[in-house]
Amino acid sequence: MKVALLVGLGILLVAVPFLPGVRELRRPRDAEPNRIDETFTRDPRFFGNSLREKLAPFLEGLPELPVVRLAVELRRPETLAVYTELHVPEGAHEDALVVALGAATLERGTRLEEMWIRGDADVGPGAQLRALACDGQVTLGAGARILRWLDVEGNLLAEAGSDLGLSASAAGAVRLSPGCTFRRIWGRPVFVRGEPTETAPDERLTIEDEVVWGRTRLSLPPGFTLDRDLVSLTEVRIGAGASVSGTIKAHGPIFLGEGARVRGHLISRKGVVIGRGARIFGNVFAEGDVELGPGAHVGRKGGTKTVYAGGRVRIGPGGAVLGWLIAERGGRVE
Amino acid sequence: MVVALTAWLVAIVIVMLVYAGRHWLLTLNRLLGHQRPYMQDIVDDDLPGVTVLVPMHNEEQVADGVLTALLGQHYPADRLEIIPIDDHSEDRTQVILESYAVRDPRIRPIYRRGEGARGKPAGLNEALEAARHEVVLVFDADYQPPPDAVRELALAFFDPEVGAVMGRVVPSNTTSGFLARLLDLERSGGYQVDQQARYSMNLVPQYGGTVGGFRRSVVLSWGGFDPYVLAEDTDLTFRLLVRGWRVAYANKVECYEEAPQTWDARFRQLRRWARGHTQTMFRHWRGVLTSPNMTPAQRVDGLLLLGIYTIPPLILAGLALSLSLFVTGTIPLAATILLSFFAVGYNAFGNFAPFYQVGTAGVLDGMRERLFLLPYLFFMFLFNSWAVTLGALDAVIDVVAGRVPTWEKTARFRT
Repeated sequence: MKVALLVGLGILLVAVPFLPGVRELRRPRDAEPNRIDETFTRDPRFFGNSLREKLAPFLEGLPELPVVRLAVELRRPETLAVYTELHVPEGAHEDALVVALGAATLERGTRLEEMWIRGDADVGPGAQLRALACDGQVTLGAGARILRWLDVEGNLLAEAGSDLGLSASAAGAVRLSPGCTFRRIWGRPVFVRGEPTETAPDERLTIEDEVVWGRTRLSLPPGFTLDRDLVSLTEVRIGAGASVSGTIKAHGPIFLGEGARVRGHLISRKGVVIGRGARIFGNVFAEGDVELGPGAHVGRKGGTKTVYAGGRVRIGPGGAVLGWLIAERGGRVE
Repeated sequence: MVVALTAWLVAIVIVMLVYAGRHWLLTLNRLLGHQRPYMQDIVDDDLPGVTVLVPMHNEEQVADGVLTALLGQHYPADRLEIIPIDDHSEDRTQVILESYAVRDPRIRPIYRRGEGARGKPAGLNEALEAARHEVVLVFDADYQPPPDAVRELALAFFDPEVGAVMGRVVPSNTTSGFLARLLDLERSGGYQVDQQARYSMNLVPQYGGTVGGFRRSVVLSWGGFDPYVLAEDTDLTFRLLVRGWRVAYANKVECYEEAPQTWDARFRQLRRWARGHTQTMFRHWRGVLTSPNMTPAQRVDGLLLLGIYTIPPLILAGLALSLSLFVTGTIPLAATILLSFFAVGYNAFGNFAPFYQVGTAGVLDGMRERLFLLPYLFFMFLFNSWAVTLGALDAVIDVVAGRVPTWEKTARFRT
């Protein structure tokens, strides 16, 4: 009897881990394949276009009134306020989804949720928006803050200290000012206002006058020309005015001296420091931080390139990226 | 004799523990470590020319699916060519390919008929000669690449160190039954955790030959694929590695595949993999040990990866040894308990995707109730062990008897 009990108990213990699975096998509740979004395409302007697409049907056949309020069902029941022209006074707050059929002016310190402005938008200093799609030009006042995303059909001007949220995109140019912060910016180009000013020499960019093929670093002297790809297991230093016609890949950091030119891509498993006035015609992909020095440019006119930093991005005055700028841990204009 | 057998048993246990350590390390990295980014976020309007190869043998059930998916790729039409390789098909594959080739100039099929080596590597070689572009991507015929897959895989070759790239395989037919559901779990662990961790840790992510690609000039520089290698993907991985190239892993480039739905088909597939992989181990273990182009960690991981299909035979050997030592009274009953632990231990540590790797993948993928099926992987382990053991033995016999292996296609189930 005791033995039978023990055997039975043993069988039960062995069977226990399988029991929850029996239910799942008999009545599957999680049997669908892992989801792959087969409609997904990488579109830096996805958020703005998606909002426009969702809201457009609600704008058909509206009465011509200064403001119309509608109850709409998007992800949840919401109120949609449609204005012909929008002026939000200083410090005002609006909870509804907002569409402005014309221009919009948001005064200092206003607080709004998601918006679609079909004219130009002037966002006052210190204003805070959850998301903004704009079919005209946008000016973000000093210290204005976007919590989620911003998409602009025209140009975007971000004044000093404004926060561009998780994603900012413009079909035109994006002009940044000192103190602006961001995660992802798409623009043709994305550039920092102002000419490069004299700054103290960056000691990290000091490069010897001769080629160094070392175990701990590889260095090309100022003015050197290399017409091939370069792969290094350590750090790479490219001297001022040097020119590399291929791609540079380094497992350590890459330092690009003043006025250096790289025709290919810069790929680093650490960080990338791009000196004043340097030009990179390809993409920059760094697992660490990227520093774009004063007047440094990435990309070429009429083309689209990407600067990707797994860490942070810092851009100096006059720095520009023709395409997409991604800073996984945040970016800042110096 | 007894001392020798005991020493052998201890050696097997040590090998098991090494694999256990590796799997734990990979899983912990995936959970807690820095994850190396892939280049999928790069947007560049100057993309390289790409040739997509699709090996096919009697693929009338799936040919439409893969070609439609490839024609729907978001990639500049003038930089994309698609070469379906019809390898001695006897069904309607050729008719289907001809109809697509007439409709779209990007599709340039090759029809392999008559004498000459058959199989995937031989077909790839012929297609490589016809290919126009340097970047070559390969999809199996049952795959359905999403619209950005070609672009995202091609981006890897901006890195001059990358010789090959591999994306993530996701079974599409998980509602077809028990086997497909277990394979889905196994694949999740293998890709979401194992491959990604090896990529993050700069170890040896593996080119898997189905949703990935390589540089044409590099493969042609060594005369193409060996037509008598069964695992041309693993062979390519190690040829690249010992020459200083690296394999990139693109976890976000996911692609549906059709997993085997019958145990017989799975057994054949796994036995072929084990045979091919072991064949590759015989070819490359010296190269991995002596290559000046690999780091010490890559060397260790490369050797462990090469040897992974030898583990099931080792387990069975350990089982036989323990039993013989027990039966002859050389070791006490406790040894059998150790033995049980050993078997369970392998399930935990040494399988392709141990349960905790699958569990980790499940959390990362947002799985819910399917995680209740984890204990059932024990049956998979037993099944895998037997299939892999036979495959590894096949490879040994190939070497000893000078036998030439022949390619065998995995059965399709789509209707």
